[in-house]
Amino acid sequence: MAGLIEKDMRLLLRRKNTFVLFLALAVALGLTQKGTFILGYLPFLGMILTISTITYDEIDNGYRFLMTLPVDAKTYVKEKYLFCISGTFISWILAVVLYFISGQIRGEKIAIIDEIPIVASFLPAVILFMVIMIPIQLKFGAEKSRIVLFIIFGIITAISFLFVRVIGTEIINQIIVKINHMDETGIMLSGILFAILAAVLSYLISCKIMQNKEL
Amino acid sequence: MILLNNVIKNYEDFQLNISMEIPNGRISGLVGKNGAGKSTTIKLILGLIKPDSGNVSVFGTESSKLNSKEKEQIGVSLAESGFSSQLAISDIECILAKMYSNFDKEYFRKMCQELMLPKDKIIREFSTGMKAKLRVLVAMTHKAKLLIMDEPTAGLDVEARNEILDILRNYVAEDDDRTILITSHISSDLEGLCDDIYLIHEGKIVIHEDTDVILEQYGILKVNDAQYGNIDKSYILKSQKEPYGYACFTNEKKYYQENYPDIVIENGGIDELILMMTGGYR
Amino acid sequence: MYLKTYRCFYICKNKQRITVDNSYIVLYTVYYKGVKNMHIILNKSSMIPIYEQLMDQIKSGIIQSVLKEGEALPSVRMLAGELRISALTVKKAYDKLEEEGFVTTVHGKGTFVTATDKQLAMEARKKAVEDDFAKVIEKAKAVGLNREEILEIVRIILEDGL
Repeated sequence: MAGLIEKDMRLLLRRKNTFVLFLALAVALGLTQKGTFILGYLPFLGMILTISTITYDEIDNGYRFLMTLPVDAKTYVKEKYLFCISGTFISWILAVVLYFISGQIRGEKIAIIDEIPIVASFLPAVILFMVIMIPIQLKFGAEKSRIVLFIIFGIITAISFLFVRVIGTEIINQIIVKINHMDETGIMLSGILFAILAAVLSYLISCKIMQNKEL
Repeated sequence: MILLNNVIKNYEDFQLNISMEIPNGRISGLVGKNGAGKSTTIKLILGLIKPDSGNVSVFGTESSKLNSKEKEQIGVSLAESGFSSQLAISDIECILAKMYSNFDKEYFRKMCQELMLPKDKIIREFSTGMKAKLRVLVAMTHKAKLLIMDEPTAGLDVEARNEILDILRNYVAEDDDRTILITSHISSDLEGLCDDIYLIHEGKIVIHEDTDVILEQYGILKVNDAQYGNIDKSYILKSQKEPYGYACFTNEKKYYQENYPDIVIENGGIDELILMMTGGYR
Repeated sequence: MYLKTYRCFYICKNKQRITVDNSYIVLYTVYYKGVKNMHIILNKSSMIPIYEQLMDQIKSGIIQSVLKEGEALPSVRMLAGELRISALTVKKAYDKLEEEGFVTTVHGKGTFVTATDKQLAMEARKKAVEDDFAKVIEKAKAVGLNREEILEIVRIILEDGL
C-alpha cells in the first residue's frame, strides 16, 4: 500500500500548478467572502483532487498493470479511501485555520466553542459526498460517472419532490421544527455518525466492485 | 513454475482452451496471430482474469490467489498498460522501492543511464522505444524469478530490439532458476532467445516444439516440377505452387538433404512454421 | 557477472563505444572467472545443425589444447546468451560432448574439460578429415567428375606431396 500512496502523492504533486491556482483562489475568496464559504470550498477541492487519482489509474489500462504488482483489489481500495479521506481532512483543517484567521482579520468576535458544531459539520458533509462518488467512479469510470451522478441527483430531486407531495407540507414543517429544536451538537454528532456508516458501506461496495472488475 | 491445466475461458466470439507447463529456468515463447489468445493467456497466468474451468497456477499457487510475497517474485511487462504517463522515472524509482522489498536501486539507475532514459521527463513525452525499454526494465529490477513479457519489442527498430533482448539474456544468465514467458510477433527475436515455442491459433495450442528442433529439422524444399514429381512426399507437410515449381514444407530436413543432395533446401524458422500451421501456406 | 555483461555490451553491441585498440580488446577478452572466451563462430544459415557446429568448435578447442584439461566451460545460459541461441541447444551440445567423453558435468558446479585421451583426440581428428573428404567429393560430383576422375586427382595430389 505504501507504493500506491507514493504513486498517488506524486501524481498530485505533478499537477502542482493546478493545485496552487485553486489554493490561491480559495484563500482569496475565503478572505473576501463570508467566512463559511471556505469551510465548504477547500475540503471539496481536496476531495476532487484526491479522487482524480482514480482517473489516472483508469487511463491506458493503468489499473490492470497495478494488479500485476504486489497489490490486490482490496489493498487498492483501502489505499484510495485512506488517501482521499486524509486529503480531504487536511484540506478541512486548512480551511478551519483560514476561517478563524479571516475572522480575526475582520475583527469578528469568535467564540471557538460556539463555532465547533458549524465548522465540524462541513467535514462529514464532504466525506458523505465523497463516499458516494468513489464507488461510482470506480464502477463507471470518469466520463460515465458524471452522467451517472447527474442521473442520481435527478432521481433524488424527483423522489424528494414526490415525498413532499405525498407527505404534505404540514408534516415537513413539523419535522423541520423538530430538527431546529435539536441541539447543534446532536446534529453534528449524528452527521458524523452517518458519514462514518456511509463510508464503511461505500468501502465494502467499492471492494466488491474492484474484485469483480474484468481486466 | 507456470501450469495451465485444461483451462477454458469463454468470450462472446472466442474460446480459449489450452494446457501449458513451463518449468523453472525455461525461456518460452508464445506466438500467434492477433486475437489468437496470447493476451488472454497472459492475463490468466497473472490472475487478472479467472478461467471458466480448469486451473492456472504460478509457483504452485492459483493465479487469482497469489499473495503479495509471491507477486514480488514476478516481473511483468504488458503491451498496453503500465505506470501512469504523468509520472517520470524519478517517481517510478521511489514507487518501485516501496512496492518491492528486493528492489535494486543501483541496478535501476545504472540501466536507465545505459538505456539512455531521461530521469525527469514524464513518460508521456517518451518515444515509443523509450517507453518499451522502461516497461521491460521495470519488470527486471526486483530480482523476480519469473518474467512475463507481452510483446516487449513491438514497434521497435532493430537496434532497440536487440538491446532489449540482450538485457533479457543477461538477466537469465545471472540466475539459472529464472524463467521467462514472452509473447511476440517477431519470430527472429524468439529464435535467438527462447528454448521452446508455443504456437496458439484460435484459442488452441497448435504446436509446442523446442526452438532448436524447429530450426534444425524444419525446412523448405524448393523444387522444379520435374523434381517435385520425383521426390518422396512422405515427410512433406505442405506444398505450395510457386513460379519456379513448388515450395514444400518439411519437418525432416535431414532426410531430404541425404537423399536428394541436389535439391535446394532452405532453413525453416518460426515464421514458416506459423504460416504453415495456420494455413498461410496453402 | 558485470564484467562479462559489459564486455558483451561494449564489444558486441554499441559500435560507437568501441574506442579501444586491438591490444586492449585482446587483454579484455581473455580471462574471467577462469573461463576463457571461446571465440565460437556460428553460421545460423548453415545446413549443419547449430549444436553440431558448437560441438565441433569446442572439440577443436580441446584437441588443440586451447581449452585445457580441467578448465570450465561457460555456463549453459551464459553461452546461450552470448551466441544468441536457445539454452537447450547449448545443453544438447554439452550433453553430447559428455557422451563422447570430451567433457564432464558436475551437478551444481559446471561443465569441465576431461583429461584428453590421445586416442580420442586422434579419432576425432580423423573423423574431421573424413568429413572434409566427403564434402569435397560432393563438390566434385556436382561439377561432373566421376569416380575415376576423382581418384585420379587424389592420386596426383598424394604423389606431388610426397
